[in-house]
Amino acid sequence: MLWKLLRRNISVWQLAGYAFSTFVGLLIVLVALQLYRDMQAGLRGEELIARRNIVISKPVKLQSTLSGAKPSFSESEIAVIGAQPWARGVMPFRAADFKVWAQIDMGGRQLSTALFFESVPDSIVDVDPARWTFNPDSPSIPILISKDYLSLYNFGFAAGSGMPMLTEGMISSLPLTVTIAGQGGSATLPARIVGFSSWLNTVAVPQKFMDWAHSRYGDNAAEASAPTRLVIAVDDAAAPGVEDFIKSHGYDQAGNTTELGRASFMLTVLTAAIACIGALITALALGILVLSLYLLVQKNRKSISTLLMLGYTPRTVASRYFGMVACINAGVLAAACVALVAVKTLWDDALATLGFEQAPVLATVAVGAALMAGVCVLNFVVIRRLVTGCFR
Amino acid sequence: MEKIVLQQVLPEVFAAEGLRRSSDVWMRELTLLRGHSYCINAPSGTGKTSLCAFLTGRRTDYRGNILFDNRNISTLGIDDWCALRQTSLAYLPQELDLFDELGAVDNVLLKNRLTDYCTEHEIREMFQYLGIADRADAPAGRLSVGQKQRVALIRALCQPFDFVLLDEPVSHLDRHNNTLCADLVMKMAGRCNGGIIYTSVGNELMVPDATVINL
Repeated sequence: MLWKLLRRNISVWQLAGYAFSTFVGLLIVLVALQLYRDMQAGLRGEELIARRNIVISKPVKLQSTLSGAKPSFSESEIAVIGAQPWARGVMPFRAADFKVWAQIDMGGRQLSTALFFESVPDSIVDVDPARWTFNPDSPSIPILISKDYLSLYNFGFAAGSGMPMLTEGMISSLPLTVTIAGQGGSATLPARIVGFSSWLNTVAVPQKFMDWAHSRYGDNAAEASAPTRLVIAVDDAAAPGVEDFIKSHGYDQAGNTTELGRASFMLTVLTAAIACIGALITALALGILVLSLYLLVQKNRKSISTLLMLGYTPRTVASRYFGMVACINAGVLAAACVALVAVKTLWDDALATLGFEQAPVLATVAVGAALMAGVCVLNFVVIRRLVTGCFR
Repeated sequence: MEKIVLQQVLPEVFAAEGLRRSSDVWMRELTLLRGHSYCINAPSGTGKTSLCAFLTGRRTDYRGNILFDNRNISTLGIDDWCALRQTSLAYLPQELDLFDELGAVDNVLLKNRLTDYCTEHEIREMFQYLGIADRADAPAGRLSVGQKQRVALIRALCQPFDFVLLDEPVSHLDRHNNTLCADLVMKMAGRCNGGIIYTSVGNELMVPDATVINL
């Protein structure tokens, strides 16, 4: 009965306009946020490790190619690098000194390739330590490969040769067999790809496996121990002095930590700008609602005033209008969340192919709910004030 | 609430013009007691509607003090007024303020719902008593002014009260209906020992032994 009186003069079109504008605004905010989180989830892990580790090598020169000498780092060079104030430690890449072949079974098609292995200290590998281990009694080799290799395959090889594109998850589940040979012996072991790295530009295996394999199949331990690439642990790769030192000594720095940082920063700025536009639209929609409510209460002023005269409290009257607005807001939130999930599929595949982990959508939905809760509180305050204004 | 006290009260509009005649209410000390009946005799333009608006908290443009028991009503907040309107102070406005789109009985039920003071059966009996039972379910907008006046009276009485304030309750009713209304008002006031305050411009509610106060 009360609602029958209060719903008079409600403009469905005005409310629909509010609902639609809020939906658009909220969706933009949520999409920007989710995109940011998805990208950030992919970038952050990489970036953190990349910022703390620099991979350097010496440039390959014609004379070393002709003489067959590897451009390796001598012990004194390593000592000089280790003595730099920004260097917390220097760790060598250790190349395998035995032959490696890998076979992969892709839906019945056997692919086989000669391969190489390198090992780096386990502490800088961003893989769950439980999976980054090797047990000679039940040998299975965990392998970490560069993301670039996957990209080369997906966007170069697969795209051109009609092979299926692969995600990190798919690759990790493919059965892989590795044959290592040397010193007149050989072994064929199962292997699995346990991770992808954007800054370790190699095919890495655990130190423990490398030690084990070297002791059995390595044929030139001395040569293998002179490293051609080094990982320098630093507090921040962007610290002053780092770049100058590397340049002045003519070393090549692998990976592009600064670009990664720049991309991350640009992403933040871009998504923040998009989210701001969404927030602006939501705010404008809120303006529409406040105007609409103001008109509604003005048109129903006589009825509301009489109800208050009968003894109805402003709270009771306002709660009816608030209930209506809260229902609209809940509907808008639900619709925006459904739309978010739908929109997310547009970039899901692309990010999966790039090997990015994805952030759960629930946290974004929670942010949306918090945002709409804030909008509801604002609505409540406005409605309460408008209704109370009818008292006298 | 046991008494309403008016101390040197004067509407602002009169204060500007100056009070040019004698009054039992304005610029006097006046006490209205619960359980008693008062007829406020008020020719046009003497501030009858203003007095009702002050007593019901609708307006505050007056000088002097109005006390409910010993509490100055200028200190009452909106929630206090809402509570008073539900359980202490019943009011029949001269404009009646019925919701035209609701049925006559629904208008009353809307009020009754706040305190559940009467059953729907009792309400329909009151309609019967005042001779408008056949119009109980018609939209209020379709009723004659006299019928509306009786519906609004029933609505005002559908609550517990310490005082019922009736602004020209029978201005559109004949003598017979006036008597019926007066009986109903006295019966409902007796139920809660409430005081009756009604205004009149000539056709007054036939409540016996009411103290006449000239505004």
